[in-house]
Amino acid sequence: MFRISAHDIEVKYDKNIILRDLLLHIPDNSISTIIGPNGCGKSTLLKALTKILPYSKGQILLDGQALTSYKTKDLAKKMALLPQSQIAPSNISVRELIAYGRYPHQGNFGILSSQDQEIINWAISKTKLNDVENSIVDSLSGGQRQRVWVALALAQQTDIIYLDEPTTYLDLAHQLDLMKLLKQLNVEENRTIVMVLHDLNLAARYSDYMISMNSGQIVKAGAVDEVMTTDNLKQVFQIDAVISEDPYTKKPICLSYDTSL
Amino acid sequence: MTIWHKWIMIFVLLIICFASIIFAISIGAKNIPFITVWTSIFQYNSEDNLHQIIYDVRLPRVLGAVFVGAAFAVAGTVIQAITRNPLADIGILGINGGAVLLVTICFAFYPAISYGWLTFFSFIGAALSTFLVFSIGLVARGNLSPLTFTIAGAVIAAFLHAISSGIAIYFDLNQELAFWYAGGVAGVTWRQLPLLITIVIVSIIIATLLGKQLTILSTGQEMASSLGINIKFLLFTSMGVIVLLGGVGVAVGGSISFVGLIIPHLSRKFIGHDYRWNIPVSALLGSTLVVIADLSARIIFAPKELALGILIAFIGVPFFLVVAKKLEGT
Amino acid sequence: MATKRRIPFLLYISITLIFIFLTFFFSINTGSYQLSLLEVVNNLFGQGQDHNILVLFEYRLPRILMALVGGAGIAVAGSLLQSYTGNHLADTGLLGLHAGASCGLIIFMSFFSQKFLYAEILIPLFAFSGGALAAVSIVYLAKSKNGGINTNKLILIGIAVSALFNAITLFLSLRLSKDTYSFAASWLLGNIWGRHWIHVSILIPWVALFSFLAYHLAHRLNLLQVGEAFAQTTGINVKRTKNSALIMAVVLSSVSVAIVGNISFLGLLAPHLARQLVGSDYRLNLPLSALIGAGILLLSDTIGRSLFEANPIPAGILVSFIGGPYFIYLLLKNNRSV
Repeated sequence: MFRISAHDIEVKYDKNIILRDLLLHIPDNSISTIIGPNGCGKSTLLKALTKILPYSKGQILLDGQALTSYKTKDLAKKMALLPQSQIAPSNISVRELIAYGRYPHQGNFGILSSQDQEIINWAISKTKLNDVENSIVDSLSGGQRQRVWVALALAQQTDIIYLDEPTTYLDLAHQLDLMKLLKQLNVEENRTIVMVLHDLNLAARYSDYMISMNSGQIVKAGAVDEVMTTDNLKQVFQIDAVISEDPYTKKPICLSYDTSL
Repeated sequence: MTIWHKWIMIFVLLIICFASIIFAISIGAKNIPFITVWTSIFQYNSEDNLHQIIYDVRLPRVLGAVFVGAAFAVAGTVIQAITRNPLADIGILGINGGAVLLVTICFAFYPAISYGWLTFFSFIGAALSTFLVFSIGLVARGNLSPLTFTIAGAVIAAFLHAISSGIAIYFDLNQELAFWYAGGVAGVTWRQLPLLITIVIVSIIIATLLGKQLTILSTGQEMASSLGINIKFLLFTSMGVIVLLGGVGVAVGGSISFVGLIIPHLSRKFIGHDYRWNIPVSALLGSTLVVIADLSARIIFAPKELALGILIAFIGVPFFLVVAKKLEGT
Repeated sequence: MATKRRIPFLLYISITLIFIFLTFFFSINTGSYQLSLLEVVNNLFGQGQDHNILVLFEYRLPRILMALVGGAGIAVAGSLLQSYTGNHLADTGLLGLHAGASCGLIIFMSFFSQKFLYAEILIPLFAFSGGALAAVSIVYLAKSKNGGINTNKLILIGIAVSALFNAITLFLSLRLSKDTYSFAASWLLGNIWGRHWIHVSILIPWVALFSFLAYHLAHRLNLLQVGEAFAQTTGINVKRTKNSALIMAVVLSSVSVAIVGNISFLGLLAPHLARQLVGSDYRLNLPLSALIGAGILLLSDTIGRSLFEANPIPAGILVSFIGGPYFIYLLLKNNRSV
């Protein structure tokens, strides 16, 4: 039901407490999105869940085990992360970069077995990068580059994929492409996807589960229509939102808003 | 801080500077009472033994310290202003390195060179390295982080040092050059002083006149430009000031780093960010610092002398670390 | 896909090896005693006059090997440091390694010079201790509260601590006698003073061992390049990897510098050239970097000896001559593309 859960965790950055007494269960095999205003702690939460930031109190469990008890490589076989801004090393080809995703399953020299190559091929075809697999990553468009990182995460062969604001540098069409790809991965491959998004409507359109935050606390976590309500958005974002139903997708959208202060 | 406060502060600093001069003159291998120092300046008696010591040995040295200190301090202030880098210093950024290189070449090929020519070549050297450092800095204005700029300067400094050393080795100049390089005002004579004093005073006046523009520059080049400042002229003149001060400072005092790093920060703490005030205050603080440092260098290991540049490095480094630590938060 | 890169890689390795061989033969024949090429080859294989063999084996060959091995060691150290700091402008002098090693040497010369008999072992030891001390203090000072290391802070503190050690070095050097000073100054500028087989036997094992260990780290460094957070989620123990890189860099550069002298810029130049040629894959650019470093140092030493026969110029200065402008060129190029 809930492979990933956080129990009353406290997360600090230097001496500032960002998250306090946070309780969260993430449903398996679904797309969960964390939303909230700047500084609400959504990135911090994601970093805690991926063991990048340590938690000082409470416990984060993955498959019944505490996150801290996992060896780094074992953890890497279970979860992959697309961090917010990644810089590809210069002069590296698409295929070579995707190959990095095989590291958790390899020895130290990174020699690729035939099985590794197959998985890389699969990742490339899944993200439709076949035409550019030998091109240098830097020469690709923003949208293509983002797909390379997704392919990398796929090559890691994890059930869970975390993404930290993956749409920030993408234009509208590419944002949608990425979301569709994630949806496909979730539906066809049963991957659990957890991401931080700042675009409400995009989140509402593609998520199964939403987690809204403010000031280091979870304000409301639940199904999309539970979270996309005028009252809730007022609490989370301090806006008076007009919620309607998107004619295309039949999902809730925030049509317009005004500041409520 | 009102303008009265500022004038009072300048006045106080002047007194302190003056006092330290008197202090430095009177203490030494032979301690001379203050009164004697006073009378030797205003009622010089060529028969008096003590007066002679003061005039021949102490006074030139201390005056050298005063103006070398002022030179490095003001050069540091100006360079921090135009690079907007609080860690800039002409020693760290390799500007001294150019002057040292040219001086080394002079020593190698023309050991009997006159002091005037030496200073001239020192200027040329400082100009070359200033040009070099700023080419890097100006090519990508704003895109160059203070850190990269500092690294670049450090590399240029190391590079120029390598060439100087190569020449020194080939021409067998080694240890004498090292003494000079370590920095110090021990051998300053009356011959050197007129040029030093004139250049330093003129440069400081020019820098102070630029003070207002430099202050506005700290908001950013684009901002300053839209407020009507001719950036090219400002940068060019400032670099000229730096070259003059650095060149003459190195020619007289050797390569002294960190004075130009420490003093601007202190000066800012005392009198704020307005460069019209900052620059004179830096000059006063710089003089006082070097005079006292030189005094310490004389008495700490008496009768042996500690090289001035080394002593200032010992003070400067912890200071640099503290500043760097505070910066890291940004 | 990997094949596309492999051909240029092998090509560059071959070219560098040829370059080294040529320089080797040029170097072995440089000096006051000249032999024809055929004689050199004969002597190397043990057939030839005893006198010739003496010159070659006892005198020139160790020195050449020193240059090669030392150059390789410094190059690999530089590469590791660039990875550790995440900054491609990093050089082995950055973590106070040169300043500390110099200080160690000067302390030895100032206070222990009567033990010059054991200089072969003691000088490297002192230099290494100095370098390690400097590196450790810089890293310690640069640690922020949650144990991580801010690279900017590290570089700044490195500059400061280096300045301090340099001041101490300068201070002590001024008190030395003229002869001792000459030796010290020469070493400080990168004069390959190690020319006996005992130096070779000290240097080679360390450099070989740690270079191999560094290569073992190479793929992890690849992943680290992308980002620390990213590397961790692919299963790399970031702290351990970085610390290993640092320790290896300190050992490699200190030991190399201790024996071949203070060579600035090589740790910047060689890795850079390697990266320009074969890209950012450490599995490719580490070995190439080692070879390039070896070649450059050998060439510099040879030129310094042959071109300036009256007063040989230390190799370190020649390397700075190339390295300095190259670095400046890099900075200018970087800025334009930014």
